[in-house]
Amino acid sequence: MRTMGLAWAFLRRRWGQALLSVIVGALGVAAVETVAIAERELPKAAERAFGGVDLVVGPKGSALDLVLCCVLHVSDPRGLVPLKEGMDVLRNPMVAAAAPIALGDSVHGRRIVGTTPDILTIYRAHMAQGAIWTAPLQAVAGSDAARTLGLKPGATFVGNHGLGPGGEEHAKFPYTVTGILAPTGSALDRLILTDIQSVYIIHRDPDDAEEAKAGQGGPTGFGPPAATAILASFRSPVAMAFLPRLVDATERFSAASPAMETARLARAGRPVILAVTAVGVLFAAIAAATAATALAAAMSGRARDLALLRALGAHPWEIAAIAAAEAAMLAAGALATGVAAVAGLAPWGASLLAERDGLLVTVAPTGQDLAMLAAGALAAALAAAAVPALRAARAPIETVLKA
Amino acid sequence: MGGFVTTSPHCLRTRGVLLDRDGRVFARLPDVDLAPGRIVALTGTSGAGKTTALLALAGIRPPREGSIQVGDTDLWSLPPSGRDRLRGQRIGLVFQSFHLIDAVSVEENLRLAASCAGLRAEPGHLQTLLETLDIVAIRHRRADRLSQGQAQRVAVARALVNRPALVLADEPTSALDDGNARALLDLLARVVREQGAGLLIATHDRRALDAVDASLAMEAAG
Ligand SMILES: Nc1ncnc2c1ncn2[C@@H]1O[C@H](COP(=O)(O)OP(=O)(O)OP(=O)(O)O)[C@@H](O)[C@H]1O
Ligand SMILES: [Mg+2]
Repeated sequence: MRTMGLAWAFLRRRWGQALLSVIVGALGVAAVETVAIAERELPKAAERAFGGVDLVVGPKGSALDLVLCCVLHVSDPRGLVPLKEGMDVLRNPMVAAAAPIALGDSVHGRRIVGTTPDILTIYRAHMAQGAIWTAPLQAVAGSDAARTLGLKPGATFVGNHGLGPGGEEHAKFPYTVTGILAPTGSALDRLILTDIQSVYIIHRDPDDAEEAKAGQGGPTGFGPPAATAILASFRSPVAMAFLPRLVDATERFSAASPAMETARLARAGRPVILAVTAVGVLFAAIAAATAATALAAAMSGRARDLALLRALGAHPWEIAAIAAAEAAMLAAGALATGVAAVAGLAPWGASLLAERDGLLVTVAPTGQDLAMLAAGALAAALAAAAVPALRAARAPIETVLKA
Repeated sequence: MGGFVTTSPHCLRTRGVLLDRDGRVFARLPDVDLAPGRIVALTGTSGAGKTTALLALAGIRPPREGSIQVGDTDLWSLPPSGRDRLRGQRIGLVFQSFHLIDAVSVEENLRLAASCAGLRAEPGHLQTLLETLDIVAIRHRRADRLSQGQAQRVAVARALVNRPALVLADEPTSALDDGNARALLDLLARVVREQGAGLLIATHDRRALDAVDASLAMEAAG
């Protein structure tokens, strides 16, 4: 029988109800798909964002804070560590490279990070243009920072005090760009690197600035030089078993492993993931239920048409197939709409995530995602069609001969 | 066409058909021998059992007793699916209220009659029917947008799409005024004769009786 054509014609006659089922179903599909993508891609994106940082050493406190502040660069620092002692803690054969970072200023929301050239080793970063700094107040821009701020070797800029916008300008201390980094996919791309001395120079007593610029370096005006944290990469994963404990055992320092913190975060996020999944499944179930009741009502409203088809020779299961085809079309509509909505909105969400949290997320659903969604949609369609289809199949032919 | 080949000179032959409702035999169908191209009226007062008889002749509802042969096939000895097939392929039905499927076009209604029977509508035959019944111009119009007269003609065309051996019509004229009843009966008679089918019209409409070759009256029983 012309099942598909008939099912489509019948659906068009009740397009309002059909549209409702499709929209609610699409919401369910979109929610489940978003969760699937997020659950798979966020940890990957976080790992990419770490670059080669295996360990962060900072002041005593929360390890997660340390990772968010000094590896992902999404939160504010909580304190300082003495530079020399911090570097000493990491003087260990298992450490491949260590570099301090000093945070404090920014330019148009991009952080200016005082550090040493070793940071390029940790992040396995290369120069795309120009060269590394050779003196304070020279800067090397990460690829994304260079692109958004329009920086090129030779360009100059001044930093603002503080990590957010609106801080006082350090107009007396313009930076000169000496190089641009090739993209790494990590948080480094959004940073502007400079010699750690630059930070000390700018933040010491203004009166002494000239003296410092002359190369005497040294303290931030009081006490020995400090850093926000110290980053390190390991020679071997075995170091992970010893070094954090070694650092934590000191009086002044805390160690944080980005990988372990994300794993912890992912565990903490499980209830949220589950809740969103449940909401998605609930939407899908509501869609199936509304589709089922609407379909059942439609089928009994069509008793006469169905009896006619039987009178014309159609088998009961051919009548049932019409209900199944209608449900399948609704499910296909919901599936396509939901997937299209995610495909349309995800790049926007991903750019938001990249901008705000520095996470580069691949938003394309995998074949496995789509197969899972299609199987779910098919199951929902069959569930929705079951009762109406059985009822339709049992429609008595006799009704057709009644006026 | 399907697997039902008629060699018998009759497209419909019944013997001793008794009809029941609620377990009680209430009517007897006079024996029918309907030859191709012939038209017979089945008469009887309201409630006499005409519609019940047509249900039995169409393989929809079993008679209490008796045999019904469509062509060479004993209708009620077939399994249900076989009866559905036979009805779809060899019997055309015209109902009092036409019963077109509103959601689809005129042409689609005709094609449905073929596909429900597991057949494909022959394009040439379809075109002939559309022309004979003067519905070519409205072939793509949805069935709920037809006039009463157009809907009747589509219903007649649908009954003939599969080149049935037998056409059963239940009160096709009862809702029509004299002019329309006349026109429909003439058309039905002409098309059925052209197609070489036998036509049984259940009616208590006296106007229909002028158009038929013979008439049979339902008999009370029980
Ligand atoms: N679905 C049904 N269940 C029980 N009894 C029925 C049913 N349909 C019809 N009957 C009864 O069967 C008898 C015959 O009805 P039927 O419809 O065959 O009469 P008819 O000759 O077609 O009448 P009419 O000219 O009014 O259409 C009537 O007594 C009727 O009440
Ligand atoms: Mg009747």
